[in-house]
Amino acid sequence: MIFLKTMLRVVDNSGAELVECIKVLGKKPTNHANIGDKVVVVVQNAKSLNQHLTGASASNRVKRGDICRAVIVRTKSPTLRPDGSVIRFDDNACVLINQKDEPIGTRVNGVVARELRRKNFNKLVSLAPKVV
Amino acid sequence: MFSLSNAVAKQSMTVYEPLPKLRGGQPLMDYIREAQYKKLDPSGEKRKLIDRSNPERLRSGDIVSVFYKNQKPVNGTIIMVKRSGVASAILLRNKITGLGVEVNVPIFNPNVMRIDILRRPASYRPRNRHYYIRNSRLDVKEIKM
Repeated sequence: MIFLKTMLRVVDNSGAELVECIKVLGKKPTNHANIGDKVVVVVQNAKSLNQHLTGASASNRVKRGDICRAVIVRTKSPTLRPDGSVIRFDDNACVLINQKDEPIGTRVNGVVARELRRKNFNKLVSLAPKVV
Repeated sequence: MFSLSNAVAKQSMTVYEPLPKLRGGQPLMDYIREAQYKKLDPSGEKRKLIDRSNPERLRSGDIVSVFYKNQKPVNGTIIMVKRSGVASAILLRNKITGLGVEVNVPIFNPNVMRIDILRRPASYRPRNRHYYIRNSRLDVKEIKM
């Protein structure tokens, strides 16, 4: 359950470390996001920019205060699956995406939930080292 | 005072045979439970896993692997066994790349083929529900297959 003001960990190499949710997209009148939902976030903590970074990873870096879109990949709140099982992670995490739902970074660290595949985030799922 | 005519009317009423009892007199919930078990667990294997009188039953603290028909196996340490008929479930906790992941598995799900116990602890902790181990020094370790 991701609401306005929820702090999320970012699990990609876009440079952001901690972001804050400022809008849940496409969920009216309920206003909380679950795994696979899109949100608008503002970057609260970002890694310092390295000068020697070049290429795509340098141009896609985000800074503190940047506003961008993100997709939720893990939630602390339990998620019910169609077969009756329930999945729950120890943190709330997201991956930054652009307007075309493509990930900004080139790498995804850590596990992501299988629900993303059903929501057409196939590229993101294939980048993840582990799908649960 | 009862009048005589009233008593005569009572005598002439026809009394029918009682209807045969439904399900041979078996209580309805027992009948439903048996029907569910017959459908979801014909061999009785899964019932045995959570039977308290079975010394080989699943207990909190066991490290298990759940095999499915249609997906990859799920591993983890049991931190809770919920016993409630065909809705019985086990809660598995595991660490994947350092992050805690919990999966609640309904064991009477027809897609669950079998549940293998990989390791049992040297000594069991008291109580059945180990929610208190989350994010403490007692927390589960990453399972290496």
